[in-house]
Amino acid sequence: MGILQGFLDSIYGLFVDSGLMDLTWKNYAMIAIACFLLFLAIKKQYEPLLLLPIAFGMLLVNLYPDIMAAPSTNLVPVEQYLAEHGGEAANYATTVQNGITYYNVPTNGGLFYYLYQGVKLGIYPPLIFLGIGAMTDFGPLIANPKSFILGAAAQIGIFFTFIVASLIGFTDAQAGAIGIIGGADGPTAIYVTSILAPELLGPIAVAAYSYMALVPIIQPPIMKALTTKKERSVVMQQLRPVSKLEKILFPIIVTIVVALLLPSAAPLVGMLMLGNLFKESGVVDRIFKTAQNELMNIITIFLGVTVGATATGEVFLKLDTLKIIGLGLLAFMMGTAFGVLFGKLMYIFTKGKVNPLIGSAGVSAVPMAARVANKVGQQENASNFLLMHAMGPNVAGVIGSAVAAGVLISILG
Amino acid sequence: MSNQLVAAAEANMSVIILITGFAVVFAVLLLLIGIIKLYSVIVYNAQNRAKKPKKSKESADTAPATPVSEPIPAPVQTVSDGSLDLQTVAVITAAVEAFYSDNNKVRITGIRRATGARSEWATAGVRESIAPMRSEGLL
Repeated sequence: MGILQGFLDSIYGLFVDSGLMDLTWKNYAMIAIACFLLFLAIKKQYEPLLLLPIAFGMLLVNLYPDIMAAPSTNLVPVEQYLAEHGGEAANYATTVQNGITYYNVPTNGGLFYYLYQGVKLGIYPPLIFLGIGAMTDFGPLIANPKSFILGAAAQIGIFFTFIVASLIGFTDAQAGAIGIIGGADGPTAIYVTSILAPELLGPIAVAAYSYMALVPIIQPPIMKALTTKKERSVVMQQLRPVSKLEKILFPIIVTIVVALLLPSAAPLVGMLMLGNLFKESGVVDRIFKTAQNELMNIITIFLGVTVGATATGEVFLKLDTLKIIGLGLLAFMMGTAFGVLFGKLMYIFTKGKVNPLIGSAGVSAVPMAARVANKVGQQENASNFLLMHAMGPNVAGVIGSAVAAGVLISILG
Repeated sequence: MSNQLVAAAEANMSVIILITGFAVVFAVLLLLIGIIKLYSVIVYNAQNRAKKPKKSKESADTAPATPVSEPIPAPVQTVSDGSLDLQTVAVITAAVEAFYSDNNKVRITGIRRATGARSEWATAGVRESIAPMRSEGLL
């Protein structure tokens, strides 16, 4: 009888500890959302490299919230502790309450709590930028530096959205973090949010990566609405070849200029350019390969699961999240629109030599936005290859969004 | 009244950030345009100067080529190692000419085997470019 009772007590104890007792409807709603995102990542292949770890982190944290729990201290009566540990005294600090002496016994935090420190301390985004730099060919931008104008134009959406977010009740710092979604650059959005508004990290990261995945759906209608058939059909001249020396000098010069003028953008731009210098210098083949493969993949896993793990039911299922998702969409659409409009200006000033579609690639989402510009161009003229032309504004957009991030951090941080 | 003042101050701040953001982002990127153009010219001139004496020596050694009024830089450059037969040279020449079909002023000055180290973006570009040809069964 005693054994049966003990067994039942153990089962009851396990049941009380299980998620079935602790989870709220919000957790279950988030579990459903996480499963839907997993479906999108696996079945529809929407940015699976990011969406899959994000969705799984979201799933895990809503099943077991303590996986993100911070380390804490338990007060254990000294007598009880000694009884449990065969009389061995411990070296913990003690606290006396109501005449009883307690040990301050530290407990470990959850796994994701520790991994999340890389996000919280702003470590992962610059490391992701290192990998992106190692994978990026800035040749199209060096061959046609005017692309920088399109990369800058596409950042206008960030600042307009900042104003709209301020007007509907977000603080200036929160509005800045929301606006940066318009840069369509996940690591930059996470970096800025972790500094300006860490409480919004979950919704902003999910919104930023969602819109990056939805570039092929969101951008084409805007591009077509703002351009004529004639403009979309423009065939651009082939870019000039860029020498190795120019490619080596580029990351060094950009780092010096940006870090001198805007130090707060230095971590992002500096690491981006360091990765690129690994690639272009041709003398550090091993670390170049590590930066673009192993390191990038490891950081992507850590960043993905921990960003997903910030999206708990309590944090995510709020009206503010819907506002952020709406504002993010506005920022992204405005960035695309301004990029295309500046592309039209360049079309006019160059007397029809620039296809305005490449302006849409200024939103940075590399290389998806450039591929979309190429695809929309080919819908008008199947033999028109805009990809390399669009890569100029695309990589300029990465630098532009990092500069915009630096401005926001300088003013609001 | 104080609420209005706070709202006005916040609106002012927003506008200041908007204008500062525009101005700084454009200023930094325009500065980069200027710097890139400048160093591109410097690098181009320096490399041309280094090549010039070499070229004049080469032209003295070889037979005069067909005069070309405006030679454009060909994608395949530098000196041939002599291991290619004439048929291969003819095929490569024809391919380059076909690529620049709108401008026939192309001269092959040398052929070099590619190192094979093509970046991801370049690979993506090539794939994107040849995709229509693949779909039409040309490749």
